[in-house]
This record gives sequence, C-alpha cells and structure tokens, in this order.
Amino acid sequence: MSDHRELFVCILNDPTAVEDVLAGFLEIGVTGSTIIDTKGMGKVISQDIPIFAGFKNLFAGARESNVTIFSVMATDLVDDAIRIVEEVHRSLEEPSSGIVFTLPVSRVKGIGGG
Amino acid sequence: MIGSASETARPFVLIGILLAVTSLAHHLGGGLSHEFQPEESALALGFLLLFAFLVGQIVRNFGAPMITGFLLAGILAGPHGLGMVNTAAVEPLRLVNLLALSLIAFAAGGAMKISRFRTRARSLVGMALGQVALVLPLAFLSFLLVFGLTGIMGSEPAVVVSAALLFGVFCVTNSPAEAIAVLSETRAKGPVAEAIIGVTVLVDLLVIFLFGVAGAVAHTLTGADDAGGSGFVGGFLYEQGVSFLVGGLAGMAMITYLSRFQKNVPLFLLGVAMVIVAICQKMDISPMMMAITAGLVVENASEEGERFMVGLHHSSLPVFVIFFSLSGHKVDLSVMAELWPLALLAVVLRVAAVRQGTLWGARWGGEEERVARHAWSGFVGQAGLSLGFAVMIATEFPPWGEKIATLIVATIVINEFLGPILMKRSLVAAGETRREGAADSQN
Amino acid sequence: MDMIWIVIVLFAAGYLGSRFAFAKERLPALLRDTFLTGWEFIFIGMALGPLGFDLIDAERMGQLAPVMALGLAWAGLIFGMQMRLVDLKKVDRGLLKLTFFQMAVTGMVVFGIYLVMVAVGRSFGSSGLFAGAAVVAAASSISSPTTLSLIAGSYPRTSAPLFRKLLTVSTLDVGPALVAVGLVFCLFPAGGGGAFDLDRGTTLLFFSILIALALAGLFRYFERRQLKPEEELTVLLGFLALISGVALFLKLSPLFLALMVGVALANTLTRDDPVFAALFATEKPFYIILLILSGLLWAPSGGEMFAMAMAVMLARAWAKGVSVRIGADLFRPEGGMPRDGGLGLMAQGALALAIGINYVIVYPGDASRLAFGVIAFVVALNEIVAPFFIRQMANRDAASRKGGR
Repeated sequence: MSDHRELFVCILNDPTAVEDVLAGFLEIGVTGSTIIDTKGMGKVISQDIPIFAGFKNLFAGARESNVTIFSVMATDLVDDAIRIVEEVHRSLEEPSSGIVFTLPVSRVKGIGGG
Repeated sequence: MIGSASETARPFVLIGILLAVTSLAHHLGGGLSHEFQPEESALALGFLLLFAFLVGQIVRNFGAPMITGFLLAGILAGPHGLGMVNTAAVEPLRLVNLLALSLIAFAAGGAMKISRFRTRARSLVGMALGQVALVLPLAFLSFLLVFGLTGIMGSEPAVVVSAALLFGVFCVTNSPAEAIAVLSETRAKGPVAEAIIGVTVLVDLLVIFLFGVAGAVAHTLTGADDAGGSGFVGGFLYEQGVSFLVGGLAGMAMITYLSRFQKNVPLFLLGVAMVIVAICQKMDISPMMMAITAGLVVENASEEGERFMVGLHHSSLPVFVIFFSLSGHKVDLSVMAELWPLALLAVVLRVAAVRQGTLWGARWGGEEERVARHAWSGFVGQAGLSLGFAVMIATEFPPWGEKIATLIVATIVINEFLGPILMKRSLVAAGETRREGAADSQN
Repeated sequence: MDMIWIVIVLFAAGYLGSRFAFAKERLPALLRDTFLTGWEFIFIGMALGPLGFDLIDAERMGQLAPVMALGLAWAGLIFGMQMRLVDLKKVDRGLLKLTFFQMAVTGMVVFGIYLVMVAVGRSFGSSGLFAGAAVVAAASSISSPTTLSLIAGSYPRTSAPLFRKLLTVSTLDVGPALVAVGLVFCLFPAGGGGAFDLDRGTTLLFFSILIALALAGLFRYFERRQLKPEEELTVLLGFLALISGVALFLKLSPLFLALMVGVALANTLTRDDPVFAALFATEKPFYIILLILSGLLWAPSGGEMFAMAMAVMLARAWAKGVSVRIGADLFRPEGGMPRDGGLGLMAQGALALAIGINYVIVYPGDASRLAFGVIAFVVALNEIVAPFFIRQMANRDAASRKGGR
C-alpha cells in the first residue's frame, strides 16, 4: 500500500446503502470512516408542491435526505472504494445517485498504520 | 439463537395476523359469494399478494425458491385449501398472467446476447434438439401404450394416437416463467444460466411449431375440419411474423426511453408490457414472442441492456407473486387425486429424457461438462405456456381434449413444484448463484 | 375500451400530466393562475366518459372501483403517515385550535345549507339526506395546501410566516374530515341500504379500528426486516390492496381505514422514510389520475346541481372567512392571523375530490351522484378563484406590514 493518502468524500443519496458501502470498505482495508447526515441543494431550494402530504414538508428539518462519508485512505484504495460505492449503490453516472471526490492529504494523525 | 428463532417465526406470525384480518372481514361482510364482485377481487388481490409473499419467504428459509411458495400459497388460499379466495374473485386478476408472461419474455430476450450465444449456437441447438428427440418419442410411445391399455381416451385408435401425440408434444414444453423467476431470485450468472435461457426459448419456438403440426395431424386423424389443420400452421406463421415486427418496434421504443430518461424505468417497462398485452389481446396472439423480440432488440441493439434488466428485476416480483399464486389457485386437488399415478409417470419419464437429451446434445455441441451436467434441471418446470396448450387442446378437441387437458394440468402441477427446486439445487451446485451468502448475511 | 387500455391510458395520463400540470410558469399570469393546480384534467376525464366520447362506459367504471379504492387507500395512508404526535406537538396550540374551529364551522354551515336544499328539492331517504349532506360538508370543510405552496414562491421571505401558517391549517384540517366521513360510512352502512343503524355502526367502527391496528401491526412487523427494494414494493402494494379490499368489501371508507393505519404506523415505525418516500414519489401522478376519475364520474343532473354547487361554494367561502376571523381573535395563534386569512383557505384540492369519489363508489344511487357532482363542481370553481383570493390576501398582508413599519 502506498504512503500517499487522500480524503475520500462520498455523498450518497440513498442513506440505506451506507451500511453495505462501509462493509465493502472494510473488505478492502478501509477501516475508518465518518458519516454525517446532510441535505442536498435541491432539497433546500426546490419547491416541493404538497398535494396530499404537505405537513411533512413543514417540519422537514427532522428528515435528512442524504449521507456523506468521509474517509482518509491510501491512494491506491480509492479506485476500489469507488467501485464498491457503484456496486452497492448504483452507478454514479446516473443523475441524483451521488457524488464522489477526493482531496490530497498532506498530513494525518490518529488513524492506524496501513 | 433467539434472534434466528424469532426470524423464522416471523412469517408465520404475519400469516396469522393476515388470516385473522381477512377472516374477520369475510365474517363482517357476510362471506364470499360465488359470483364476480369487484370488492371481492380487491380483497383477493391484497390477500394473495401478502400471503403468497409470506409463504414464499417461509419456503425460501427451507432452501427452495420463492415461486414454490407462491404456488403453494395459491393452493392453500383456494377452494381446496383455506377457502380465503374463491374462483370468481380471481377472474379479473387473470390479466396479470399475460402481463407476467410479457415481463418474463422481456427477461428471456434481454438475457440473450447474440454475440455470446453465437459461439455456443451448436451446443444450444444440440441441447434443444436432444430434448425434443428423446422426450417426444418416449412420451408419445409410452402414453400410446398407457391410453391403449387403460382405455382412458376411449377405444377409437385415431383418438388414442392423437391424444398421445399431443401429450408427447406437451411433454417437450418447459417454462421460461419458472426458469426466469428462479434465475432472478438467485441472481444466477454463468454458462449454465445462459444455457437454460437460450435452450428454453429455442425449445419454446420448436414447441409452438410442433404443436401446430401435431394439431393438424390430430385434426386430420380424428376427421375434424381440414381447414383447422392448415389453419394451425398458417396461424403460427402469422403470429410469429406479427410478433417479430411489433416486438422489434417495441424494442426500439424502449431503447429510446432508456437512453434518454433515467427515471421510472420499472414503471415504464410495466407500461410497455401492458401495451404489448393489449395489442396481443386485440390480435388474439401470444405476447411471449413479441416480448422476447423486444428484449432481444434492447440487449443486442443498444447499451441499455443492464439498466433494462435491473428495471425488470425491480418491477417483476409483484407480478410473479400474483402469476404463480394464481397458477396454484387453479389446481384442482380432486383431479390430482385421480390422475396422480399417470402424471407421476409422465414426470419421471420426462425428467429422465430431458436429462439425457440435454447431456447428449450438450456433449455433441462441445459444451463444457458443467453445463452438460447441470443445465437439464432448468427444463423440468412447466407453467404458463403449457397451461395455454392445455386450454387450446380442450377447446379444439372436445370431449377427449378435456381429459388430456386434465392430465396435462396434473403433470404441470408436479413439475411446477419440482422444477424450481431442482433448478435451484443445480445452480448452487454449479456455483452460479450469488444470492445465498447475501441473503444469509442480511437475515 | 378494454380494461387494460383504460389502465394504460389512466397511468400514462397520470405520469405525463404530472410533468406538465405544475409547470405553467411561461403562461400569462391570468391563464397560469386559472389553471394553477391542473384541475383542467377533470375535462380529460369528462371527455373519456359518458359525457364525452364514452370510451369508458358505466360498466367499465364499475369495474374500476377496486382501482379507485386502491388510490383512495393510498391517499389516506400518505396523509395518515404524516400525523406523528411528535410533529403535531410542534404546531402552535392557537393555530391548531383555529384549524379545527374553522373546519368545524364551515362543515356545519355547509351541512345545514345542503341538507335544506336537498330536503326541499329531492326526496331521498335518510341516508341520501344526512349522509350526503355530511359528505358534502366534510369535503367543503377542508382546504388545500397545493395552491398556497405554488403561490408562496412568488412572495418575498417576509410573507413566509403567513404562508406557513396557512399551509399548516390547510394540511391539518383534512384529518377530522376524513374521520367524519369514516363515521358516516359506519353509521349509515351502505350494506344495509344506507339507513341509520347505531348498532351496526358501532360494531363496524369498533372492528374498523381493530382491523386498522392489526394491519398496522402487520406492516410494522414486516418492516423490521431488511427487505430488498422489489420486496418492499410487493409488500407495500399488497398492503394497499388489502386495506382498500377490506374497506370496499365491508363498504367502509378506504380513506378512513387507511388514515387510521397511517397514523398508527407514523407513530410506531422507526424507519418510515423509505415507505413514505415510495408513496410521496407517486403523489403527483395519483393526483392527476384522481382528477381524471373525477371527470369520469361526474354526471351533472341539470341546472339544479349548478345552483346547489353555487350555494355551497358561497356558503363555504363565507364560513371560512367568518370562522378564521373569529378564530384568530379567540385563539390568538402565534404571530397572529390577518382578518381576511380565510381567503387563503379557498382552495379545496384533491382530498375533497377523494372524499366525493369515496362516497360514490360505496353508495350507488342518485343521492351520491348529486353529492359528488356538487363537490366536483365546487372544487373546480374554487381551484380557479383561489389563486386570486390568496394573492389578494397576501398583498394586503404585505402592505399592512410595510405600513406598520
């Protein structure tokens, strides 16, 4: 495994897929991730037109629409991680499925070796 | 241990609640009538969907495919079981049968990548011809003897020969429905799975032709209207021609949608299936070939095959549940009680001939040994198409046609249960299933 | 037209219509506001039915009853599943009381008006008289958030609190109306000819609640497993079909039964979002189908129906205005309510039509046809005028806040 690391950021629009994604990460050796509930831009600015279900929108703060996974991992694991996301969830080429991007990490402390 | 015991008990508890609610509704509503009432159909649909799904789950826990459970649920729910759903109530649901056949045929067509099959054409043709070459003569001769000795079909030789011939052709039929359903449930992928689909479709094409010829012969032998004989062959050609044309157009329409829009694919496919059914009802032809052609076009003339199959997978389970539970509901246990020895004989002969014919045909075609040894199990199941033949025979050749139809139905019932179980075992043994581990870990 | 073609046409229209019904931004303002909520699809239903090309005749419409009941069960379920106690507690008490007050007053006024008109003009039995009046009253008492939501976007954020209050009122006032309809169906059982029957009524009500709780328990117990998407779809479809089937079989209201199931689920499910998302995703197509079905079922019986509809519409408008004004003073909702806040509740929307359809499929006969005809006409008229009244009220409110600074 290379010494170079990247911050892998994955925004999944299907929160129910996150457990399987994390299980897949474990299999390839990505042992640490942070998951937070988030809300997409479309959810904030779109005009949800209520017909039968207007009440839920009024208190929509209680419901989040997607999940963001942060994980610092070795560079050579990134391709596998993306593959896992697309296998478990669906192709990221499809609209509204999610997004993945990475950022180079120059320094990290607090994660295990490897 | 406690966790797994409660998981095993869960479907039973749910079935208990479901039965209690439905029985209470029946009691409060004054019971079921024996005539068609839209409200009874509505209740029957809801009950069957949930009940069959739950029985399917129970059966899956024992290692059998879910469709076996759907069939069993139909029997249990029907007049010979718990009586929760009566015959008049399910009549409007028969529309779902044609819909199911279309979806199944989509999947069959969509699973046939011509480039892959081209390399295996010889073995696929070999397996198909091997089955026909063994099953048809064996079944024909055996039942010629049986009908002649028992006198079930009367004493007129022309009728006995005709009955044995039609029954022999019937024995060749298999069930794309069951094959696709099991492959879908087990997510099987590999040469065995591909061979099953390819050979099933080939055999079905052959059977449609053979049935046409056998029907013409039977008409001639029994002295029925001669026009009926040529009518069969002519009708067959007309049906296939229209099916290819309209199926091709439907395929192109699906490609256009799939490549432009990403949303609501399952719903769209359901809609196309319904249009195909509607067209076929109008033209009085079977939707199978039309839908197979459409699926074939999507798979081979575009890059949308994967999305097409995933969308089908998501839309087909509710339709399968109704389709197979209705099949089970139709089973007349009193007929089974009378005819089971003959039906069992047909099943045993058929399984042996299919197995051997497949093996020989595969080896002749240079197929790998794994396929030669395991693919045969995908050809045991019988369902929709075969039932359609039974109805046609009963209609075309009264009164003896009805007796043959009854024997056909009895045989189908046994094969309906046996086929999926054997097929699933073979797929697991061939190492082509992906579902076992995933299902267990999720439970 | 064969049944299968009817189903294809309905669902295709629902899907296509849902893409265009709410996308009228490019139309001139007058046209846009007149057809803001897609009510023009009622005309498509009329064109398909006996009033138009008769492609869907009376026999086929009878066979569509289970499909309609399925849609009603769906609507009741999606509404009920919003009613979480924890969310209801977040609503200002004063606003909540105002909601039910305006709904009750409007209902009683319309009930009285309609009862008198029918008693004088027609000779229906007690069922047709009281049950019909109760159903029309229930449908008239509710308001719709759709128009409000579509118009709110064109107002600045300073108007947001007003619209939020009106949206809350127009969403919540549906609940008691659906309960009232359910009670009517129990107490005037269609199976017994529609006459008032307290014994059978209380029995039916008791067992309705029991069945609803059992069905909720059934679904709740299902949901604890990790189902695959196609399995979840199968269970949801079966569940909806069962609710509507039980309701139709017992000649109860699928809306009411599904509402109770939905409320039970909303307050017991730990993971209700995927189910709700599946229901919510089909909201617009179902709405369009409901409009088309309303057009199909509409059978005007002469000038008398129009006169009754006008009377109901005017009575409703007056009652909404007066009750909101009185309620605002009595209950003092947080942030207040403009004196003409009732104008913001003119729209009636899809659930009013659903109540009418519910009545007509369970109670065949002239009384139900008349009641539904009145409801459909009033809903269509209110959908036309509501955008203008809402804008009027919002403009005045904005001006008064500006002037107050």
